[in-house]
Amino acid sequence: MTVNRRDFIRILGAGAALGLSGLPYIASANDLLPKRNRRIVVIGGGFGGTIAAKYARMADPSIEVVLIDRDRSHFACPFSNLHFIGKRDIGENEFGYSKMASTWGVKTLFGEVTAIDGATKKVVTEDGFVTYDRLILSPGIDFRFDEIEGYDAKATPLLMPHAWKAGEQTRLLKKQLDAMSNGGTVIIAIPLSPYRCPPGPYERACMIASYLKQFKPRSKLLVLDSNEQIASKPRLFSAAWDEHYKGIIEYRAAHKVTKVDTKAMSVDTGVEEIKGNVINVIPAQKAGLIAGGAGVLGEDKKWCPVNPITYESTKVPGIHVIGDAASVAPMPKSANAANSQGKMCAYNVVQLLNGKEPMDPTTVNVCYSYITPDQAVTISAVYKIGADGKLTDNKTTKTTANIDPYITRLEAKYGVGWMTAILDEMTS
Amino acid sequence: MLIAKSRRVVIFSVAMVAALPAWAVLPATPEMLTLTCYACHGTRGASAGPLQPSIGGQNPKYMFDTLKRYQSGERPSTVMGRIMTGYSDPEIKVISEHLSKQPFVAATHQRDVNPTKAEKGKAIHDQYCKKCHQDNGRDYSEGAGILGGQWMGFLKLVFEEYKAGKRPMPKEMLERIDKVSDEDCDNLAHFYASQKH
Repeated sequence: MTVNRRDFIRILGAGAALGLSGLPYIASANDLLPKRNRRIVVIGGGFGGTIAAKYARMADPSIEVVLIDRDRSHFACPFSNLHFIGKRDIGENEFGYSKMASTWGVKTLFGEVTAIDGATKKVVTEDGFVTYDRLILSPGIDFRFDEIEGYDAKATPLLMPHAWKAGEQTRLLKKQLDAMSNGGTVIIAIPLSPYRCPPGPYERACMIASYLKQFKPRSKLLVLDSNEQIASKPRLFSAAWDEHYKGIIEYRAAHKVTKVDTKAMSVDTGVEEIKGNVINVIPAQKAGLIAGGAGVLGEDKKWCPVNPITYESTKVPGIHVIGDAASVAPMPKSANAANSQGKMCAYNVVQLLNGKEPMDPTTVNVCYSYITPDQAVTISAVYKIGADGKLTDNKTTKTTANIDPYITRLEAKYGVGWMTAILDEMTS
Repeated sequence: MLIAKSRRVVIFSVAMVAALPAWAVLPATPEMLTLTCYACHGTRGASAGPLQPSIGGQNPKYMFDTLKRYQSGERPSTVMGRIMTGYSDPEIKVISEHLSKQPFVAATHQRDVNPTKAEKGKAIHDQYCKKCHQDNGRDYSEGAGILGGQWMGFLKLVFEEYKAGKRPMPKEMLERIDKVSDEDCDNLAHFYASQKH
């Protein structure tokens, strides 16, 4: 350790006090963790960043790793849809970072990152700054609220929850469903691809429909999809809706919500205004805000183009981007993809810091989607770098064959195993 | 100021990326190639359960054969077989060997082990299983994976699949498992889950 433990806590304490008092930081005055060694800074303690921090330490414990997040704990999004049917409480999805420090020697800093300067290799937080040799950015998503007329970034989610960042928003949507009377209308508005978790909105439709079928059978679920068709596992979701939720789910493809009215509790598709009792508008998405500040957004101004071998930004050298924020098609924006990318990125960042060439990465994705409380379908793939230097799935992308009860029940059991394991990997 | 600085860098880095295929990309180390397994099977193959087996410390030949059976579909699965189609034989060999060098870590939260059932399970084990699954199922061989110390959920599921004919097994085992009742399979699961390493 380059900083003794007591000093580190003192620095953290001072920083936190400064933050609480609301004083503006003086960037140059407060080096939060003077760098005396080779250092990787990781921003974002979700599925990508936490794993990148842990495995960078596994790859080379002589390199210092600092993990920065605004919060001391994080709510995982996978399985959050099971909260709506009471199958899994969202509280079970919360995880912290204590083992990152005690088991792996990752230094953790908590505070809002306000700026990143790729030229001087400096990360500025509300409390001061830290410097890095290489930065791994795993900022997740933010929303393109401005694309929906009448949408207020602060007020609207409290009335029409997106529940697309898990935690309080998940609880709010569940409360609204519980408060709704039998015979009400629920609306889910799905954004254009790409967005976080391609099958997520359709799984949510299944879980909410299952809740309605069980507790409020006279109610309806209207799914307004901006996309031309179901964006993930279309055959399986269509089959599940026919089999289990006929008369409850009404699905309309190519119906993009362009306007919301929280007073009238209505959404507008440009063709018609539709009222709902519970309205779940999932806005279109982009890389987490800090990516814009770091200058790593691509020409689309939404996502971050990267080299698929090292995940180094094609915009700013020394900054690597992983997880939902990165453009690494054909990989989806999923938790398992972020986990896999975090590992490959960490190992290659360590290679580069050791003056070596990067290594050939292999990444895996698995997404579990529940179609009933005890049945699930999956999509999985293995990704490699093709001869042309681009990422390819070599036609390994495959789904559960059909919604046969034996296999989907088995998938649902293994899904719980997957969730247990992937959370454990970040907290052990 | 920040943006102006990075814009100059853009040209440089795009040129760099365009030249990338000319870079020597080294083959992944066995450790790097194996990392993706850990998302489901635990760090270094020590499973956090409840349904995935610990794969660290298994016999490399047994592991290679098992992964190949998943790949071909000979052993039916949900995602395992699909994922294995993404790996070549040399890669599967490297992964199997790397995993065999990791410690086998017994499941840590076996609070649901019933000692009476485990004892009954031991009698069944001694009568039918121990010839191949030696040292109370803790030993490994080219033909059998480590059972002792696996998660109860995993063991129960495997026995269910054997009994339902959903999981192929050697003829020798088929003849024996036919003689073991469902209840005794459950007892066996308790026995193996109770094993410490």
